Amino acid sequence: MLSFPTLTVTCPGCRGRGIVMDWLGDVRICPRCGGSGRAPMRVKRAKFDYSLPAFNFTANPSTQSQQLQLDDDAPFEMTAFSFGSTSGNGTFAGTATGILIQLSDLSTGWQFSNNPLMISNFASTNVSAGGPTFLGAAFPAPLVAPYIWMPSATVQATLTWSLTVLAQYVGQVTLKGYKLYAPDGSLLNLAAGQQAQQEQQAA
Amino acid sequence: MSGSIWDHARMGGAVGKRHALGLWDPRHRLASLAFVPPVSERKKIAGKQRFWLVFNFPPIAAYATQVNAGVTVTADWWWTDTIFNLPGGPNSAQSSATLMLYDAKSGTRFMNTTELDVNFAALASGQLGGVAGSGFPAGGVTVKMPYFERRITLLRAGTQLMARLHFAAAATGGVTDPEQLVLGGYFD
Repeated sequence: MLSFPTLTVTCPGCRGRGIVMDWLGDVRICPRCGGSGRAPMRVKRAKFDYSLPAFNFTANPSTQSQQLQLDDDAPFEMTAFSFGSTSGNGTFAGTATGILIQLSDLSTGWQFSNNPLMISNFASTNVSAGGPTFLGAAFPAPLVAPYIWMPSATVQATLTWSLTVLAQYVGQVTLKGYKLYAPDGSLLNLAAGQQAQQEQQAA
Repeated sequence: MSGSIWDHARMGGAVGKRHALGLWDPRHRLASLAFVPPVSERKKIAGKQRFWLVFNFPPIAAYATQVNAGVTVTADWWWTDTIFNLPGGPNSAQSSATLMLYDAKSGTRFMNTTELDVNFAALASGQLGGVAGSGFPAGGVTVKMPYFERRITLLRAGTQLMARLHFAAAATGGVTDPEQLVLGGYFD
């Protein structure tokens, strides 16, 4: 079973029991955590973008992987990702469907899709006769619920292209979001939160 | 009741003319909420004063590969959106630009490495934005497509923001029209 990072603490309303007593003495589900016993950790967000090393497109169809280890000081809340290329105005000799991308979180083993995505399904593109134009941050791909990357997690993106690309062009995957710190700006005590969660799951 | 999204009758008794669907971004329509700050974030800037922080990059000298611009935040300010304009447009030899934004006072960076300009902010390209072989989108997107932060960021008074723009190659003959990076937000 995969273990996903969650930024929660023991619910202060019910002390992790998931139930509370109302003023009549009846037992109720904790209104604060909905019975889960866990409440979101209070955090301070600092805007941050992680860009993976550039993909250097080669003239012939090829596959390239790039990895990036995230900073160890804070978890990263990813709210959107974007893909940009220096071939902004259509120098790909083909359509955007010829470029596939697979994004993975190597720290949890989580792949974000069961098969590689066509780049148009990952990043915003305008496909014209000359080839795709990547719109980048103008139309980022949003995550309705953010994904949390743990400190020092490793991001991997694999790009496969089955079309002819002018070799001097590069592409870059950017994860857009926020670093998470404690409300006073200090580092989050993740170990305490995770330990409490494990104890609760074991109980 | 009409089907108009502006019909306040759809609001179930709300008074006045307002958007029945709440915040509405014409780019994303019914998916707008995925792209903009949620209500809990927008409450922080309700009634606050809109203000743009403008980075005017100097003209790019011949054979230069980077330009810098700085702005000091004069009062506590919430950062909500970003737009980037390259009216002078680097020439085709420069191919693309990457950006580094950081707080010169604390040394805090807003990105792990230089980021492709188009990934950092919606890129508005002007007269040279369709140069054949360059990395700048034809036509541009202008301020109609800013990048909105999902979580707005408070920058304290005294923050000294510095932006450095790198080009993949030196400008041939220089570029006289300046580039401009604009951070949109609200004074606290």
